[in-house]
Amino acid sequence: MSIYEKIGGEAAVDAAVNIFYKKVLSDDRISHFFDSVDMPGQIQKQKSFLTMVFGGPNVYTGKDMREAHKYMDLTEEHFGAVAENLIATLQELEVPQDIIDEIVGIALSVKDDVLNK
Amino acid sequence: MPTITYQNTSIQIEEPQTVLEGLEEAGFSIPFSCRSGICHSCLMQAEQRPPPTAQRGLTDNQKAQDLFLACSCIPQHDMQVNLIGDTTKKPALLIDKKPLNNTVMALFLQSDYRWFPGQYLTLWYKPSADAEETEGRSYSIASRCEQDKIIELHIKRHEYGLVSTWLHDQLEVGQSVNISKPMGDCFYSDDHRNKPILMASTGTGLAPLFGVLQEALYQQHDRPIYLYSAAGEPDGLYYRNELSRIANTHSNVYYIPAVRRNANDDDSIIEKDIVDLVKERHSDLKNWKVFLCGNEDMIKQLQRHCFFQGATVNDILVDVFVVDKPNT
Repeated sequence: MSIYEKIGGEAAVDAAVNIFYKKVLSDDRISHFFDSVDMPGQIQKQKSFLTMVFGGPNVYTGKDMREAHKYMDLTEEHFGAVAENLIATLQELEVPQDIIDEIVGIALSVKDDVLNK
Repeated sequence: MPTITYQNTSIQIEEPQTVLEGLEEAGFSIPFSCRSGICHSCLMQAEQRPPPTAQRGLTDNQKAQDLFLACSCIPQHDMQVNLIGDTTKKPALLIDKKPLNNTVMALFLQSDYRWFPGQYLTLWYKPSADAEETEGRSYSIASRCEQDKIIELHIKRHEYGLVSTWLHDQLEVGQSVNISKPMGDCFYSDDHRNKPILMASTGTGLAPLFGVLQEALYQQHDRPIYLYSAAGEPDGLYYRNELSRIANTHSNVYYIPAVRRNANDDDSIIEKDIVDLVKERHSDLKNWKVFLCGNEDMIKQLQRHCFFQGATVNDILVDVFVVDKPNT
């Protein structure tokens, strides 16, 4: 069973996305990347992101990740901030630590693509 | 085998093929990303009701417009489909013009489109019969879609605005203009019925809200409705009598006009920034529906406030007004 199925699939993504989005919007290090008037569009992107890190249906390729973030001048600090907010979201939802570790592992696997390294 | 029609081309689609796959096979390039119903990149609009499985994860207002995800759509019957933002135009007849204050004019256009009050359309500038239509402006609809099919728009005059000055000064009753199909998410739908509603507008952002309010009342919405209408000064407000009358005859409707300055002795108007006013008065918005229409700054601040105070993203509907740039 994939992590995605273990934690409840689409319903888990729906539960996580509101919490996660509030956290990134409140984080001065990264809020400007998410602060668009198109909130439904932003939520959709966060859902795609969460689906990916939860190991759900294949949403992004490494190439998509690279293209999407290419011109954003992202740094280690930005990546770290998103990871922190992701972990805090999962903890708030009482996801067991071993599953959090797996999810963070998936997030880390796209780090070089996101930072365009 | 169902037939899909897209851009005048008919394509046969056989299960388990999806609309996205069928269109791609026929050589069309449709935006996509995840191909599994998550990213919504392949959102399209149908002329007929799409299968429910192709609408999973969409908002009620998207479903009401027959939007669907091409990657998740295995058609059960013939469908005519378009990408969002269909730019076909149809003529509409100007049947009346009415000034609402010193700078805002109401236009009444007869059209054969269907719409949800609060949606917007693009109106095309055509100063003479042989002029090419290259300039369009978007305006939101303030009237219900009744049998007479009269679209009411509120046009603010911008001093150097090409289209607004033409609509104010030159276009005459009896002439026709081309308009695009009404679109957008900012309208009243069934899932609003049991929720209190907060509406806030600046300037002619009142137009879509006036439409939404009329629809809500027509649907006998009985939960509270708060309508904030803001302007710089009192003479920038309009429809005050109409809205006061509605508030006086419906115990669940509250109309709150607000200005930044010069409210003077008029105690029916509040002198305060609309963002501060709404923040101060609405601190718990769990289960509320919210409509925000007008300038981007107000919308951004209140959208964030409403989201943090408990409204879900899908329950916050916005219509951002972008002002014509001066014609240089």
